[in-house]
Amino acid sequence: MNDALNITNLTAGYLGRPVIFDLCFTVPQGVICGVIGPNGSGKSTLLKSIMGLIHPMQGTIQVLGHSIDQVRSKIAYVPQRESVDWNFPVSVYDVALMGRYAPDNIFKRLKNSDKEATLKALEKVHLLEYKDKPIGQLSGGQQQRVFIARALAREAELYIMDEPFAGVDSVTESAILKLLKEMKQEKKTVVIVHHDLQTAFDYFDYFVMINRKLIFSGQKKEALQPQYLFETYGGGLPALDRIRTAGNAREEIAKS
Amino acid sequence: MDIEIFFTAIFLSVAASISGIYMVLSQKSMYGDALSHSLLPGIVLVFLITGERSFFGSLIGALFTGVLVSVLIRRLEGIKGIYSDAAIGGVFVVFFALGILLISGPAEGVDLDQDCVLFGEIAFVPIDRWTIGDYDVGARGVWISLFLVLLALTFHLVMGRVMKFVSFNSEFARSRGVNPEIWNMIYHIFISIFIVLSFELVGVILILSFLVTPIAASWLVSGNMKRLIFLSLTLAAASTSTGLVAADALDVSISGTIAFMQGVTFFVFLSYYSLAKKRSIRRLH
Repeated sequence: MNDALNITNLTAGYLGRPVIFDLCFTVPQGVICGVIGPNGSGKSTLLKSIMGLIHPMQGTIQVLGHSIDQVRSKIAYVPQRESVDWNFPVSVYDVALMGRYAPDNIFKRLKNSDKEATLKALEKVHLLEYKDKPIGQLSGGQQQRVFIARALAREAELYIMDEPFAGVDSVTESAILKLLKEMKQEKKTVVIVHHDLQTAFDYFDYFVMINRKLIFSGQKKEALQPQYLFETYGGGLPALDRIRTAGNAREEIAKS
Repeated sequence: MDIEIFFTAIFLSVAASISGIYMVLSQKSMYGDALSHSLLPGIVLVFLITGERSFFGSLIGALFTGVLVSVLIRRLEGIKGIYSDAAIGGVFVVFFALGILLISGPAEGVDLDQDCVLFGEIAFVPIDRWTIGDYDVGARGVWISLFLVLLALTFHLVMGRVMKFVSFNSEFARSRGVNPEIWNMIYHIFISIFIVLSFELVGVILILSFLVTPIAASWLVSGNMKRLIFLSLTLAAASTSTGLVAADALDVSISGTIAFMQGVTFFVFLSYYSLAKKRSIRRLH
């Protein structure tokens, strides 16, 4: 079976300025993978490169063993919630249905299967009763669930999500976690950008840690090493600083 | 009041209130400004090359500069510190200035001046007749604006879904393999055609008011597309007809009165929206 993602020597960025350097890693199929790193570490740049939204300056990206344009129909993308204007005059159902749009059906009458998949997706995120509501009337968590429903409507093999847990309520958080479990059982692959280290180890079973370059990629049990966390967060994490000062203090006491 | 002026104004406002939707919704209302001002140098350049001002020559010239302007704006937008508004503001003024510069010098003979482009004169609509053989079919303006209604409806029926898709979330559209740049460019060409066909009837300022105001007002109170379109059509027709009647009664500029009436309806809707919002906040407390 092909890897879900196979990335070699990837350098990418904006306006000729690289943000991520020389990344090499693979993500096998069937895992819930967290891409973690501090702000500005290039997580979103990585996702955008994978989705083909920005062109890599160097290196190759294989998605499910092919170039992204060959497998778009098998991939669903959940961008950050801030990427749209929530006052846009569309209903919850309209947005979820957009997950079914593709270059080959955008001018055609939609099939019944498209509508069914959309309703099923809305049911999975508990938004079926809100389907005719304008998206402007939703809470932040509900908005995030609409975005996830739009991806689920795709019925894809690989799901790529940019910060789906950012600023959501606990109802939404547990709904997403339940979905992730179901997706794992169905042998789907999910790649999630996440910045909160506190929760990362509860949510994911595979890790890609980056801070502009690759620090670590692999299974959860190997990821839980302090040295990787130090390197990823560069000591910018208060908790890690405390560990370090405590360690230094102990050494000094031992010396004296 | 002349019935032909009445129909021209109503048709134009109705056609524009369907056409401008995706400009307003994707927060690019000023694109209309840019496209409308850029048509002047295009028309004049074609006049300089061919030595005459024909309908198709003008259309091609205006489309050429329209596309050029929208590509230029797109290119500038990405650069550090230049956001959409600055890019639009910077580009269209230069193009309009080029047009004025050409009219005042090398293209002095062209039958076009900046006043006519900006303000037009809807009162002259009945003078320009369309005749087939010896038979007078009516004012040319009525037929042009009726054609624009049909064009706008066709555009909406064919392109509505893809435009909604790319305007709502261009990043997601691109991830699905639908390139927003292409569809936005086609949309800009459509708006350019719209403006080229209509500006001599009422002037670009009123066209811009038609393209933006009823839609912006309706958006305040609409949560879905159907309602938005229905309301904006109604608003456009209502404010245009009251504007026409008022201009007739007061004997003042027709275009000015219509644009003013559109502004008034916008503020009426804004007040309604603000009151409704305050009331719902009070209910929450």
